Amino acid sequence: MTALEKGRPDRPVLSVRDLRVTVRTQGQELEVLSDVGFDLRPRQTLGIVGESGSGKSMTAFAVMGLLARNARVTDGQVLLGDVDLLSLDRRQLSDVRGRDIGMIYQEARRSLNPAFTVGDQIAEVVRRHQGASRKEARARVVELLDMVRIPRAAERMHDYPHMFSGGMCQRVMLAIALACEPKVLIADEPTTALDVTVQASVLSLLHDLQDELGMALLLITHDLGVVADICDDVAVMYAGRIVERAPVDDLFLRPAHPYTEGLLGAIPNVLAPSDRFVAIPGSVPPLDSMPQGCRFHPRCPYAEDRCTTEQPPLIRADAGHGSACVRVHELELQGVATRV
Amino acid sequence: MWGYIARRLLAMVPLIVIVVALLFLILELVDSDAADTIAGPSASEEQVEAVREELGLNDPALSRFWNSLVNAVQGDFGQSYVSGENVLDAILRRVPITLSLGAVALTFAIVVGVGVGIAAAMRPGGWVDRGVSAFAALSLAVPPFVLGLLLVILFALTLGWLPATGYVRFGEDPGEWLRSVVLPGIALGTIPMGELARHTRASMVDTLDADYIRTARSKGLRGRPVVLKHAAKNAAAPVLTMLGVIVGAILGSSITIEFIFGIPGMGALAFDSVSNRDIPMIQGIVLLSAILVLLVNLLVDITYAYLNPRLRT
Repeated sequence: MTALEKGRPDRPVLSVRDLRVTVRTQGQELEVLSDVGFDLRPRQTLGIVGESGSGKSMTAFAVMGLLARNARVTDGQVLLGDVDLLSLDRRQLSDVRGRDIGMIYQEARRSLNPAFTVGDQIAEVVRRHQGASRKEARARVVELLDMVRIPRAAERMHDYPHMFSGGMCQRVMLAIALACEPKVLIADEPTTALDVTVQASVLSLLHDLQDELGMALLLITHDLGVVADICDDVAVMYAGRIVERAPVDDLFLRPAHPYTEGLLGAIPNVLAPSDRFVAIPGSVPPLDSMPQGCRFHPRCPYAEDRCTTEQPPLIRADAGHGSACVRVHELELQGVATRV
Repeated sequence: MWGYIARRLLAMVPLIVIVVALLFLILELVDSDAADTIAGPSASEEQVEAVREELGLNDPALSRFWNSLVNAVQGDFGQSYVSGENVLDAILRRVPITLSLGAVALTFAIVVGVGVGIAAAMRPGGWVDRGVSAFAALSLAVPPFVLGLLLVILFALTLGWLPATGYVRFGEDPGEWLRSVVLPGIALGTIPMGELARHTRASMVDTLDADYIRTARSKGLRGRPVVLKHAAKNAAAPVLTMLGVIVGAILGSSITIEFIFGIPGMGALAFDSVSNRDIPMIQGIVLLSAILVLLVNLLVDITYAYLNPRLRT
């Protein structure tokens, strides 16, 4: 039991434990995910945030069993209910994908096949997992397009992806991902490529559908605004590790890891421009030269000698709040001033 | 769609005029003419001159060009200088032979080339991929006539499985027809096969990397439907483009291959006509080949629209 569960009775629907993933490049095996773990309860929304290259998307692909050919899981468990997805063979895993776990991506239009109608692409998943006939599938497609609020569903199912806007493509992707009412939806930067107004409508749709279908949502994003809007809990990733995990309000008001403080400090503040707009110095270290000890220490304003040697696991900072900083109990870190 | 096809057909007209003009120009530049051949080796200068006058070869070049163009538009390609036969009839009698040979070559090229191309793309850098690369490179390196001779030596002369030369019409005996076109078909189709293998591989590797392939997998689709349905339809377009070029190449190589295998097709006719300076026949053959290639390209473009919905609107 992790501190995160806060004594809630629901068993996690998805539980990732001690996940390690390595990538082979130029003959070297480099570790890109180290000891990644989190629980996702039914109806819970967990945000995974971090800079590009922190391993957010890699985590999602590892869960889905969709890692690139040069990447492999070396350790850990991905439990969906009682089943460890990592122990399934390819056939069994493909039965789970699209049925129990759905996934949507950043580039919705590029994620749809340009050569088939959107109706075909939605019907395919229905027929794959529910053994529906052509006719049944077609009826279900109309329902699903209605569900994701695409107007004139019965006509538009015959259109090709290039005839839809980016936001509409993301709705189609949602229809595909949710066609079999999965227990878990993984959304990898679902609104990053969209206009701000479209972002809001897609997010609210996502939120409503989550309520309606009672699924858990794993939301991968670098946008802390999105996190504040719809997440219950947040895991902050840095250089392949989860460095902080907390309920969303705790994280914003009382960050317990210097990296999180940096991320929060980097949010542009509309009300008080410029004076609190601070970038974290440096950048994420390349895979082949990961610093010893805490991977954030070269960029950390609070680093001391022991930070260069010790890499703590998540230390309990508060109820349901973990931080991978050795100085967690010494530091007074700055959160956002007001409730977001 | 029909409007598009009509426009494309109309656009072929100037192209064909250009082909005719270029051809005429090239034949003009050839030093000797058919009169020498027709009059025979022992003919006097006067006799040759008389033949020339009779064929109209002494008319001004422009008027001869105009006449042949006007006649060609009316479907009259003239008579062979050598046999006196109607050019169009002679060609049309041989076209089916060359087309059936070409179809065998093309089928071989597509089935094997696309097949090994897809197999190679499944694991880029794997041993299948490397094997296919070597195979494709080798097939591109051997000229069709050399391969044809090697095939004859191995399968006809040494093993005696297939006839070395000759052609049996399909209507006569389909089994014998197949036996007579297997070796020339392979000889003719090997270079296109290598090209198709390379292009298919490259196109499939790109496509299998696309985001929508990942989506197909995350829907729970397994290997085969993903590859054959989602990837192939998208990967086909660039491969298809090649077909227009390949059909032209096959027609070109059929000249040597038909000669080697003793097949009385259009290629063999072209070979004879060039040897005899049988200008009306050469013109007819080139023109018809050009039209054939243009039509194939039109067909390719139409198929394109089917594969890529974005081009339809």
